[in-house]
Amino acid sequence: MLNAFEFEDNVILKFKAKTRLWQMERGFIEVEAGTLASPFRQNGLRKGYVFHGKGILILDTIVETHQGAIGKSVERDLSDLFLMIAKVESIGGSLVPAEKEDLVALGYQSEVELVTKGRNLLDRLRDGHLTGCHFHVHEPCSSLFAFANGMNRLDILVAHNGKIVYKAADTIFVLNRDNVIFRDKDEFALSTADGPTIMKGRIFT
Amino acid sequence: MRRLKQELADLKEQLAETTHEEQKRSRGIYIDIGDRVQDYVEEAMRGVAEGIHGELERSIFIGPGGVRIFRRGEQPAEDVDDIDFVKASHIMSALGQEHRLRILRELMSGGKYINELEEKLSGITASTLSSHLDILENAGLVVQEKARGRYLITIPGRTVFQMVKRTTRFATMKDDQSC
Repeated sequence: MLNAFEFEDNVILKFKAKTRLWQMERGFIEVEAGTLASPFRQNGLRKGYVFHGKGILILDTIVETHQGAIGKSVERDLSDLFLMIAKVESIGGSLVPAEKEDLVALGYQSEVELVTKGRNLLDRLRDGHLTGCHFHVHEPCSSLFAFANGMNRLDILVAHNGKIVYKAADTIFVLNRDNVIFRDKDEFALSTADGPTIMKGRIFT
Repeated sequence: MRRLKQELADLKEQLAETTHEEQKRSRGIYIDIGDRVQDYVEEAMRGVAEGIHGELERSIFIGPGGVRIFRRGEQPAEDVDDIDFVKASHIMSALGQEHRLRILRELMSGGKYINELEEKLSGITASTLSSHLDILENAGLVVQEKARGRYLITIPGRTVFQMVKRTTRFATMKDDQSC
């Protein structure tokens, strides 16, 4: 599926105002005005963007248990390139064509530079974490975000119908209604709505 | 096991023979079941644990914190030398303030927004409340949901609050006994 994405030639956009790209009760992704967006298409339809500018990811990867809360609230600065594959109509109204100085302000000498970086990111996504997997964007509530994490890997956020999967270098968080899994280097918690909570090898019922 | 159950049932019967009046006459509402029975129960539990150790792949220890599963040969960590004193003093310092203890008590019943805490803790200004919450968060005793805005008590927070509660109750009992 990811092979079929093609960047739109010579189309670089920018956000004219602060915009929320994704939001759920547990978190959101927001970009500042001036953030650049390079769109890509599949079968002639715009399916996502690569972004570069200023943004933030907030995600409450916290599990509440009878013994106390486990986890933390992720607050991630999005100043590096990241991509989004999702229903794009909701943010189209916030985008306007970028000027040359907008690109220069972020260190780009031309649109091609940004598109090339975007293509590399998409290739890393295809060849790395999602090799052999299919991702369909027909449902309006499906979103996939991929962020470079500075260790030559990609961190992923997938959201669909109230469910979240977040996998980063130091954190794994999965939410499916009342069922939650959290894991980082120090803690582990698995909690269900009516079953036991397992934490670090201890079972509390 | 059957013999142990019978002996425990006999002890329960003997305890039940203590009259209600005698219980009322004891100091406060604390009922001391007696050192002899307590020692016996501990010895019996130790015997059962030793008896099944080595026959099961895992041993199960039921303690005040719940069920903890150990692998064969593993013992509960009790190394008193292995303490991060800087972290410990940080935590104790966070606990050493009445308002912060009240905040922890409120959070024991579930996550709360800052305005809910303000309502419950009259007499603390909003800025003071924020400052106390920052201290508790830095000590790892509470965590804030940045998206939803609630404050939650963490596992260490819950554990130390219960420790403070029990210690204070014990100290109060000792004070009453010495009167």
